[in-house]
Amino acid sequence: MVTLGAVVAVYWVVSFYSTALRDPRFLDGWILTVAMLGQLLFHVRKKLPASPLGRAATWLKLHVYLGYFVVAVFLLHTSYSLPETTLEWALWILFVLVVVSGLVGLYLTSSIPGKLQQQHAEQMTFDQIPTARLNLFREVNALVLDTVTPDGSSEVSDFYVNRLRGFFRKPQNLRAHLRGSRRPLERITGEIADLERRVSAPDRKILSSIKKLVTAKYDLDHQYTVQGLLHSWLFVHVPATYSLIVLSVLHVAVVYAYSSGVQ
Amino acid sequence: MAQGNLVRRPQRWDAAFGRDRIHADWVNLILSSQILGDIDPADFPDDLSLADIITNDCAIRWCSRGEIVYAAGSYQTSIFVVLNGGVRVSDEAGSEKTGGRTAMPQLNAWLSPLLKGRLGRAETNVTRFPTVRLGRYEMFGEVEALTRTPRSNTAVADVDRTALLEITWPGARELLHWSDAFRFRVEELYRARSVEVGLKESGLFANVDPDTLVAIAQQCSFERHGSFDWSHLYQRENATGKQSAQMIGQEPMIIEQGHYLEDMFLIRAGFARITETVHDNEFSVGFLESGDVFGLDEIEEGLLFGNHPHAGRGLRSVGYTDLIRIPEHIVGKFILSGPKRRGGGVASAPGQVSHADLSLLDFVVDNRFINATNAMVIDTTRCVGCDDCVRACAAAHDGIPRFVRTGRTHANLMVTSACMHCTDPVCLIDCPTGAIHRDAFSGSVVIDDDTCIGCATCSSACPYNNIQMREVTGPDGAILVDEDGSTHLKATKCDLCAGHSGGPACQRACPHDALTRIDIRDMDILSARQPRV
Repeated sequence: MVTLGAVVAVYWVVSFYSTALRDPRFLDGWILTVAMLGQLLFHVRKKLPASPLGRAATWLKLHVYLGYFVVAVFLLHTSYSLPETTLEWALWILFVLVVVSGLVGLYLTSSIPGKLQQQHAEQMTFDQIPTARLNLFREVNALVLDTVTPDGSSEVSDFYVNRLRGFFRKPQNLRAHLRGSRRPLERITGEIADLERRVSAPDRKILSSIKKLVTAKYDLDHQYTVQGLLHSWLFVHVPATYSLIVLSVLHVAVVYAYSSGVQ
Repeated sequence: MAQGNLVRRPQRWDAAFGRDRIHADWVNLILSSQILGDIDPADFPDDLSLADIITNDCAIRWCSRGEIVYAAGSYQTSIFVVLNGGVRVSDEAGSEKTGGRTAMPQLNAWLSPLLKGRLGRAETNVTRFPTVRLGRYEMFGEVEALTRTPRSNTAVADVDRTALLEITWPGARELLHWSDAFRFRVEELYRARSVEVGLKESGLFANVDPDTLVAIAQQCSFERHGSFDWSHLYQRENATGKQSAQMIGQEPMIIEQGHYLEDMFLIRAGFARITETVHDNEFSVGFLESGDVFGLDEIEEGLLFGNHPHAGRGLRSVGYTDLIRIPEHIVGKFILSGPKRRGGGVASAPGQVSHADLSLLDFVVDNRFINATNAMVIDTTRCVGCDDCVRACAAAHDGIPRFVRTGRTHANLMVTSACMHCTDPVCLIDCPTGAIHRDAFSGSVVIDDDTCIGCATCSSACPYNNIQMREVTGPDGAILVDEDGSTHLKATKCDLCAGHSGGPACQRACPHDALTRIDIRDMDILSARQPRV
């Protein structure tokens, strides 16, 4: 409501300003600049994590609401039309990138943690995942080695080398994880089930253990993908913000170099 | 051999407790008199003589009349013996909540230096409440020292030039360990005073005059279940990965469900688990902490219908439990007819939770998180793994974070590996120097880097593995190394950002309100953070 009120107030002030035969874009442009600088304060708060500057959660809420305000003022400033010059296009694209990535980030951060929690009873931090993956790889290697006969091969080890080794070494099936699909897992476990019919009883037992490790690895990859996605939007949002600030300064300089501010 | 700056490792008594070590004349006087009771110096090993303990772990404290020795509610764990003069101990128990962490004890303690030699706040406190005068060679302060609880009363010097022997916890621990005579004396005092103080603090006998209360205390009895040193046993049990039902089975039984209930139990210190047994399956339905009672409803029902009361539920000790048994006839005469009970002010087993939260209760009690006054709990449905909390912690502590963002999880609640500032901080029991201690005002468990000798005793005693040992570096950044090549270590843990304004940085830095510091015993707060189905 406060955001909405602020937007209405700005629209009213700008229209009032334009009746004085002044270019309203100067006023809404400065309002936009100040609001964008205000958005940076959240970034400053994050860079000073131990400072007594209030709770970051409150700062984030302000950042989001101020973001909505900035979008409204941006629309007013651009007169709801597409840009004309190259610099304006660059500014426009960067602004849209910042806004869209921010909204995507807002959606991801509010929706993914809950889903992750439902899907994985034991969650890992992002930096723990590579170690956990390596442990699974070592575990499965040890199991497979137990099946190797004196001549150096076995059906299980052949299957492992041809089908599972790559799966255990690196994160796999990222697109499937983004879609939330378990088809690749069903395919691999299906192939293991086929193999189980053809091997000896001790190897069958080992295959059963391998199947559990495959499921664990698939779940681990899911966590890796989704947690990666959770952070990925920042790789767009932050650089685009910095670029936008630089171009905005340039834009202000150009405007004042070539315009008097009178309509 | 590790490479680094060669520096002698700090030793236990490099820094004596007092500003100066106790003079040899005083030590001789203490040894030759009955100040500490019948302590036999021969009971002590050669490398830890009684004289050394007195010299290094004790202090002589001179007080002017009206000077506060300690304030009610403050966290201070020394035992005192009056050497000269006298002390008045105010009987504040039960008059108001003296459970610490309130502004008043802090104010009292802050005022203490200002009031030195004068009458002021301390005098007001002592005149406001009934007092007990303690004279030469009398001991006080042992209840809080043993239970690691805040002071339940205020002690003030009664006359000018009152001399007190202050035995710090590390010294008291050694005396209790090596001398049977000292241990018997302290425990006898503890048991005798604990009953009376416990009855007063409970508020159950608020309408009873002091003489009657003394008579009541004589009819009550004190019991201890479990052991003060519960953490090592718990760590062993925990390492075996036992399920809740197995954990319950290991805990000492205080009273079994269905057994004859002769007395009501008032929990004095520690925790107890209320259990219910259905078809031989025993499960938790609640827990009790200091000040809670068990068996009141059953006794009330028994008296009402003329039956022998039986325990409707079982009670087991979690770690250790000190309790006071209050006989049935006293319950009937003074509590059930008392104003508090009639007004609903005394609840039987208040720690019980709804059936929806039973698994949460198991999680909290099995993992001993009920001990936590300031646990770091992360709501995993909100946490995005940004690690801002870890960065904030690092920024507040010279670049080294003091917790790991992992921990035990129940549904969406993760109790992270950060110091929980326990109600009963077992980590400080065996610290040889007293470096790990409770802040006198806030009660937070903090480590004094200057006196920590890096022995890792606290780290291995912490049941939750929340204390880490870190290597010590010199001003040039090089690691400090002992003559034998081993690196110098210091214990490190969450200190709730002591010295920083605004409270714990981790909580303030979380942009998604996922991380909170909470008193886990407040089950309502905890269950409110769980998603409802």
